[in-house]
Amino acid sequence: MNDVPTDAKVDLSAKGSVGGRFIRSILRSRETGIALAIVIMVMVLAILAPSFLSADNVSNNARNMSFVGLAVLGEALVLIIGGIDLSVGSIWGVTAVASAALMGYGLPTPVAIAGGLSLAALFGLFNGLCITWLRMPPFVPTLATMSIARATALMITRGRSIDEFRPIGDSFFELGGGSILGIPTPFLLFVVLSIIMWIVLDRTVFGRRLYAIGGNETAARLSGIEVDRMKIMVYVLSALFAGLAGLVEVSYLSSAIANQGTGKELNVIAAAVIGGTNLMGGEGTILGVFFGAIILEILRNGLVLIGTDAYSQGIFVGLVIIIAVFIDQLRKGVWRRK
Amino acid sequence: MSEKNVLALQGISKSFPGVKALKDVSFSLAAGEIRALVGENGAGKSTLMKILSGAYTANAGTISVFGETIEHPSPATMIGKGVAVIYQEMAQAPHLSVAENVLLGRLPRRAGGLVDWPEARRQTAAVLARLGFDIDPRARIDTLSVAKRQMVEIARALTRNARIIVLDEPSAVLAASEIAQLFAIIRKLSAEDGVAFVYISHRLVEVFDIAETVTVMRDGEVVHQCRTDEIDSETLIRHMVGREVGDIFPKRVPKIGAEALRVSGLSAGGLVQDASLYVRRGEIVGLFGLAGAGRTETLKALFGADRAARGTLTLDGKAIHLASPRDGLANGLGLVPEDRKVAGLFLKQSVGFNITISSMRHLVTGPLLSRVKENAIVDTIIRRLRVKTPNAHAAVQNLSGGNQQKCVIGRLVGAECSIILADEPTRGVDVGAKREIYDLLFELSDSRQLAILIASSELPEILNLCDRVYVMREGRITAELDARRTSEEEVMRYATHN
Repeated sequence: MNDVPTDAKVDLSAKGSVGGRFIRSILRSRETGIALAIVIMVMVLAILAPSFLSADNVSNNARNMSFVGLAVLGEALVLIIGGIDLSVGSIWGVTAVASAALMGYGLPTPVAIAGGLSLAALFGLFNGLCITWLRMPPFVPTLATMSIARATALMITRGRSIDEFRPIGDSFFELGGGSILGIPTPFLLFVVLSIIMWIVLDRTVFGRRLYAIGGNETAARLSGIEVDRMKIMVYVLSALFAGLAGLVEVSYLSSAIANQGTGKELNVIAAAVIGGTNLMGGEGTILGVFFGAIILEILRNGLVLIGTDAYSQGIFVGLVIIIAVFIDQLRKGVWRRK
Repeated sequence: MSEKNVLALQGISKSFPGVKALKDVSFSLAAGEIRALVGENGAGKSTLMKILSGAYTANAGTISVFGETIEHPSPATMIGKGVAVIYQEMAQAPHLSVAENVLLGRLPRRAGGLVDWPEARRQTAAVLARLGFDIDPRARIDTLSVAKRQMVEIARALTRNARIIVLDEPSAVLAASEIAQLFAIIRKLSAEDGVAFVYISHRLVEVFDIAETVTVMRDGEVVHQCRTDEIDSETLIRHMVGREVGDIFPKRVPKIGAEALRVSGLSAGGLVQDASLYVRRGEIVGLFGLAGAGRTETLKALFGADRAARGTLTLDGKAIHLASPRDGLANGLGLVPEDRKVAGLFLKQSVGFNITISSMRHLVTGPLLSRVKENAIVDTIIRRLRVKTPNAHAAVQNLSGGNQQKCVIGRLVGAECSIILADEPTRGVDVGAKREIYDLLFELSDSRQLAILIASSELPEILNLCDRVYVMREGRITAELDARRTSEEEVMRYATHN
């Protein structure tokens, strides 16, 4: 980050040391605000419900948030290119039961996982092809896939749960239920994949192209970006992350049912929006959606701990979405007096 | 013409955080007066118009209409007082009919609240007929040309009894014949009905053609006001830019090399038919045509952005087929699109992002983008093209039009394009920035032996900038002319029916 010498006069905002500008950019960034919100929530909860900070509770929260978190990593890509994927909850479910069913047939774990994820990828491919080749608005095919994938899951299970697809103590259960150095494995997976996706979005050609497509699709195409191919890849990736969430959840639950992931698309989109992703495309970061997923989980757990009526939880989640976007718009000066 | 002022602005000032957009601006308008408002981008014209329309509230100063001071201007009160502002980006409902748009919010009703459609069509037809517009009141807005949409806006203003009409760069989207039609209407309304006009434009020829008086703004202030017959365009430009510009068009002697691009029998966009042309290295070729002549379609097809295009393309003597813009870029072609905000720029992204998006393969180290390489390339281009930006990280939407266009051209320079297809490269940029873009194109053509094809509907630009000119009419190339030996009249003859 060096100052750019131009022939023109250098604007005031470019003044000051490199470090000064770095600190200013951190203070001004959206993620700082979200992180601050997390700190405040944690402090308030620590006072109201001392058990909130207990090792058990923290560990449980970390595990719980990872499932939605994994799916958010894929949804974030879709939202950044200006799309939406409503099918993540159903793909989550169908991948869960398909993998469990394959294991139940006696297939080796890696094969069963690969089979489940391939099915997820197929649904993603279907979404992508409808959006690019058939020029449908993303809402439509992903809504259709939401229904088709859920029905597929029901057909696989015939309404029953799939249990005992692996012997007790099998290593597959470590994926969702295990811990490494006291940290729940799903959370580790979530963190590692977040870091990878952060690098992909921020530091690779692929990531740049996603922001370009979301920012201005026409300009992206004229800039030599193969927009359709990129879109298909993104919907496949979104489906894969959703499928992975389902797999890890099956491992954690040691049981698979057809309604796994039902309604999760809303949590996933909520986490992305709370994390500052713009539904119009072109804006959003992995750090943001990571924090968004954390906020949703703290909220859920915190409301339980302080004894809020379980039925009213949705009200708080809804309010947090509105407040998060409100603060973001304040930051951007949407209502600055004209 | 009455001496009574229909509109008077007194000491208008407006500040935004960190910017003083208007400083003590005053001017007045008599009934039937046509006043041009000129100034470079950022001079404060748009801010002033928004204050006039009631969209912005001034920090100081007064607006009075027909001698009455408007205490709390809002869009509704200003419309009520007879002030209509017609913006470049028209605020229309594209899926509704002409009648619905003209009478938007004031559709005639029958008992029970139902819309009285026959009456709505009758009223619309009446106002369109009065203006001499041949538009079907039942047509959907999105099926009309931009010129006709503008006419619908004027009709809408008239049905609201507008006495003062502000036109924001109306000609930017119009062809010559349409401009003539618009001017005829302006003159008619001004002479017969005493409607006063404020006409904002970058095109000084038009200013002298239509306006009786002119107000020049610079840096938020009114720097000069006079009658148009008391001033010449050189002086006017000097007032606008605040310095000597000399000729807007630089001079050069082209160093023409081998043939870079040749297309024959091109058909494209359902419009272009059997077009053939060539461009040589170091040569700047113009493609002139009125709106709808097929300029944009031709450039898009040459770039690979029209899959349905047919014809044979040779680049540096080799026959080649381009299936996508990506192919075009890979073969050294670069397109500066017609509308930079719609098709050229990633507005929310940084200057650096916009410059490097087509050349990211130069920026990677292994699988990752290298900040060091990126900064080096972006800095070089910013400096070479003299892009005025606080730094490479500034959002491109905060730059002036001219500097935004430089970012688009810089992207092609970064992608090492050797043939540049520029579609209206100076549309909507101010005089000073135009000169800089011309200099830049000359410099690229001379120093790098680039072949440049410029599509434009501005005759002075075509004749002064280019070495050779192709003229298009209704999808066909009707003439190939030596730019130094031809005249505006000759080019227009080939561009229109004769």
